[in-house]
Amino acid sequence: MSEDQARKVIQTFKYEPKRLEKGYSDRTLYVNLSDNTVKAKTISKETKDVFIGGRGYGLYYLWQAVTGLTKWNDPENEIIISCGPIAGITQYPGTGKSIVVTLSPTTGTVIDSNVGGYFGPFMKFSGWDALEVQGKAEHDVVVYIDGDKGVVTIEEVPLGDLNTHVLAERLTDYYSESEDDKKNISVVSTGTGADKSLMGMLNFSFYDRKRKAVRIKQAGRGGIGTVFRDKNIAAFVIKFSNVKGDLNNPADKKRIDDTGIKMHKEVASMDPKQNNMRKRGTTMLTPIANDNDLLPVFNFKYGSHPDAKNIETWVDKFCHTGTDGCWYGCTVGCAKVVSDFELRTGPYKGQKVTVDGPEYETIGAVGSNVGVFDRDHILECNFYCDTYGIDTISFGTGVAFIMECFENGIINKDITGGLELNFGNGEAVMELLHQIAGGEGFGKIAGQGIRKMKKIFVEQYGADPQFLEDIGMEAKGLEYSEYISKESLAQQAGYGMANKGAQHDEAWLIFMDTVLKQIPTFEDKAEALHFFPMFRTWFGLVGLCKLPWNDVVPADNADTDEPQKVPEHVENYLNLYNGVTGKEATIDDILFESEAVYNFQRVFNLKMGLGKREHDAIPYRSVGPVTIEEYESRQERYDNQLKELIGVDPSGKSTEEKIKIVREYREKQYEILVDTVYKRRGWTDQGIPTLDTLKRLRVDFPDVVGIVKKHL
Amino acid sequence: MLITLRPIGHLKELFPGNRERLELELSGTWTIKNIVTENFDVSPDSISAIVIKGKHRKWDYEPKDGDEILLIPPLGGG
Repeated sequence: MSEDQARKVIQTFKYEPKRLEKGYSDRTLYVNLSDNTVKAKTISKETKDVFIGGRGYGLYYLWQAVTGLTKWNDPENEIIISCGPIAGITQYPGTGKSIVVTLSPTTGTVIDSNVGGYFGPFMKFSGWDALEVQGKAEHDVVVYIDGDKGVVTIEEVPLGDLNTHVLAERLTDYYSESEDDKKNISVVSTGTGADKSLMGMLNFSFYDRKRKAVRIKQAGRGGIGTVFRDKNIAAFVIKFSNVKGDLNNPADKKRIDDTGIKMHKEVASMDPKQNNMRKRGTTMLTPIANDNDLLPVFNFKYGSHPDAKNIETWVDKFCHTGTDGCWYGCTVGCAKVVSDFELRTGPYKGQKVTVDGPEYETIGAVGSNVGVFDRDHILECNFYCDTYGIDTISFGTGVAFIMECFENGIINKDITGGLELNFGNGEAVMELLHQIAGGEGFGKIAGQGIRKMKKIFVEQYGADPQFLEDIGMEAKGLEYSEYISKESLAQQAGYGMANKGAQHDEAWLIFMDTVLKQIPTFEDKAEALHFFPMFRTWFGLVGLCKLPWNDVVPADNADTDEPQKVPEHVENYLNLYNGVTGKEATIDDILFESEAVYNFQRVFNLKMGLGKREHDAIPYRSVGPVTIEEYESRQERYDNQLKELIGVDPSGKSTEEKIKIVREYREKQYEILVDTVYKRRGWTDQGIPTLDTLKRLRVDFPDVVGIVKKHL
Repeated sequence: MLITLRPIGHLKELFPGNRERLELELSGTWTIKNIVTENFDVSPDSISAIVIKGKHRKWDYEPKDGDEILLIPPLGGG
């Protein structure tokens, strides 16, 4: 039987491809896999004014779809992909980002995850401001959007291996008509790891013409890939040809062109003198983190290690042929790749593959945090996590937790099926990854994430619950990303108060706080914890990548009044936003837009049973030293703090006594900061947005107010 | 006057000896820009911000005796 004969189209929906106006089609695509409904929905002006796009649209649609009792694996749960009005322009770096939203399997509330690749812009140009997928298919299906012909189908096609490096290539071939046509295809897929674990992620592809390879970027956090597979989705595929720089039909194309030209010149001349992202990608953060005690080592116990120098340099490994942007026009081009990497383990052992990465987070997660300072190990782990559809951050941080439990005798080889999960055992890490992806052995437990593992270890293996609470690095159920926040009170709150859980994309304040000492008071920290989360949220409403904002800066940045905000780039972004939409928004306007969506998401957490002060709690390992070895590794620092900050003489005291005093002080500091931030944000002392705040932000919809009133 | 330059992160690679702290004994009046460009072969383009005692300073600032000058690369943290 030919492949075409094996293709079974379950549903067909024809539509008129629609011209975008000022970045929007004002139309979204709804697909229900339970009853095979495919239809167009319109977005009202009122909705657009408040929710803008991207994460905003994702939150808006998910709110309508679920109740407070909906679970991640109920058919009512949705996966929504949306990018926003700026996404898809090609004149400026970092304009291809989408946000994916769903109810997370590990947190139980809404997760939003940002991702590059071509799917989002192609979807927009095909005439859809968002894709909303609900229900569950009976068998594995592909949802295919042919943006050239104006046809959406739900179909079954010959799939074979569902792991991304095989499937995305297969589907790119299947849906393209020629080698040249492959650039017009993007595939969203995951892998068997998402079937078998709660930490599944989504890969969004683009075709790399120079290297003749399918490349992938990840919507990594929160288990969205697990929801995807629970719905029996094999892939979303889109085709769109003839990408041009004006498909958004911007209000003022010249404004965008001029801003883009200026920025491209800046990147070309400045990046080589600054972070050299174009050669190093985000690996450039590794030595910075290690030098400043921020690199997670041995489950966040320490911030640096002498062997970290082995995993700092990657330029010699990368294949430098071609540009490495994850959307057209990105001159920062930080999506680095290692070509022809020979795998040493697992089902594809012996194959030479393309590894997308590593990013800094992966180096921290599956390298330093688990104590394996070996580049080939990191590459192997990166590849398999990607193809299996497993989030490298949740995997690495989860394994680091397991290793500390193993070394403390909480679990042993009988429980791990013989795996010696000591820090530094790279072979055991890889074997565990394969087990998670196969749903076998100890992998069945490890794949559930830290929050569930803590419960299992206490109930089944008699672990001390307080110790596990202290060292289990998760907040709201989401595993921590790869920075040591112990010495930065602002970053502790940046992690603990983030809506989605312990991800740093809301605020990265470590340097401002501890190295530059620019936010010394609680009020300073609270102000930073207002501006940065709100500005960073905005990127996810409009389709932008944050890296070109502040990983490369203009020549005179140090001569501006607030160089940490990179004012010229803020001006650039306003020019892009206003140039596309025709608005005349100021920085205060866009912060207001973000604040509205941010507070809506806070109330969404409340709806789903989180969203209060108790849910902003964080593990003590993220605040201060838990163990004697941690304290004594930085004894001088902590003893000085005892003297200078707490007014206690450390001499004569045991390390345990000193740990207790430091802990009491630091935990109190966190609570004071939380109080200050709540006040700054217009929330109650329980962290609930007040009715005045909701009204000011125009998100005082009846159902929002109804949820909040129950808790006031 | 004695001032200390502290190039942060990979900026230290631009200075002799890859050092995290460089102490300079200077006489007369100096701006930060002159200190960096006339004593070292370092382009100001590499530096995103300058901080002294927790406050941002501009290139024409004249440091005082004992000042520790943090030179910051672009750093967004992802």
